[in-house]
Amino acid sequence: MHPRWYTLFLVSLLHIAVLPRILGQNIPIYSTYAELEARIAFEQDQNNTVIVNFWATWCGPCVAELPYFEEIHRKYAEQGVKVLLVSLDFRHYYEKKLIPFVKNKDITADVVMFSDPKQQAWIPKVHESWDGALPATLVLHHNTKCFHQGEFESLEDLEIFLMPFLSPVIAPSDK
Amino acid sequence: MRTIVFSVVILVGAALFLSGKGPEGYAIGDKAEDFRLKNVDGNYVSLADFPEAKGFIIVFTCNHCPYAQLYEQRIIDLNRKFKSRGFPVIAINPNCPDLVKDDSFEEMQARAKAKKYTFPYLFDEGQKVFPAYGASRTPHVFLLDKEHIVRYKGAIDDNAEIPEEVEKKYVEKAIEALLKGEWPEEQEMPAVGCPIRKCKLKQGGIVNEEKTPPGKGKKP
Repeated sequence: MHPRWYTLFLVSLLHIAVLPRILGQNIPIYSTYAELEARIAFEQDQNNTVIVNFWATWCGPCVAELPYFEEIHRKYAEQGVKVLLVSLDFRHYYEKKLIPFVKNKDITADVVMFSDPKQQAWIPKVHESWDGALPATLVLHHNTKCFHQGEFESLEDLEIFLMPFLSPVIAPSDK
Repeated sequence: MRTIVFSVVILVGAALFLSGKGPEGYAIGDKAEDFRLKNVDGNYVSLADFPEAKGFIIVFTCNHCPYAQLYEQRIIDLNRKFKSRGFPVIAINPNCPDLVKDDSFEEMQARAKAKKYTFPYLFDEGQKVFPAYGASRTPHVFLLDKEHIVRYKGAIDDNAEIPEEVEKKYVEKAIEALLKGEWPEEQEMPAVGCPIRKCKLKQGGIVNEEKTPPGKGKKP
């Protein structure tokens, strides 16, 4: 085989066989709030409850509470609970930090990257009481919207916060 | 038993709900209390030390946070531009060094020296000042007037990542308004930032900050 074709063959092999494994889950990048909003609206259509957690790899308390959200995803996904982990990492962190992080931590809940620089415009749209500090969690359940700024200390704390939306017995009246 | 469990759940829920409302602190128009905090040069600094000042740019910031680093040069520039016009920068690191080694007093001294800070960089010993202000993140600005009334709080400008693409310089605009004797048009602006790390409560009080080993902290 001609060396050039051989190289091409190797490169394509790398793309087909190796890259998906390195990349793990596909993490979309939303560069405007409208795109993120559309994704959240889509998830609301598909699920009973959508839990949106804003975090970043550089945020210690965010990283500490991520396993609790992953656990909620694993426990309740089949009951129509969607966990959406919205990373506010910088764009240049995408390949170097975010993708390896999600892979190494074995995160199976959906992760998206969100980097709209117009923070003062979109932060109040997420919730009027949010001042922008991470982490922050928004729960959407039909017409109910519930917001929490700051970290959850344990899985129990998070479950207590989510209880009205996870337990069908005491859930707010459905559609 | 069920009643007890139920009450506990309600109490924890209420606590979470309250904590979820975000930090309280000063509202626009409130009078901020003076403080006395240790500067990187070893001296203690209070607002009362600046009788000539027409106001203060109080910035809760720190070493480790990428957003604080993005804004570091802009904070240096704010002091360069406005100290002579009566609005000095007072930087305060509110983080617990037990949780963030890069934010220890020694690391603060190293950073202030390396970056040639021309303003006080104070250590919030005992972590009493940032909750009084209601600072939640770094960087987080509180612009005070001469009487220590909070006139603006929040973001420095509207583009953290790309300084060249900043359209609105909130703090600068607010100072210009104050210099004209007016209230700033925008008085509160949210921004993404690193959460302020509060020392965990241990039996008998706050974690002893003196335990932080002297000299260089661990690099991440």
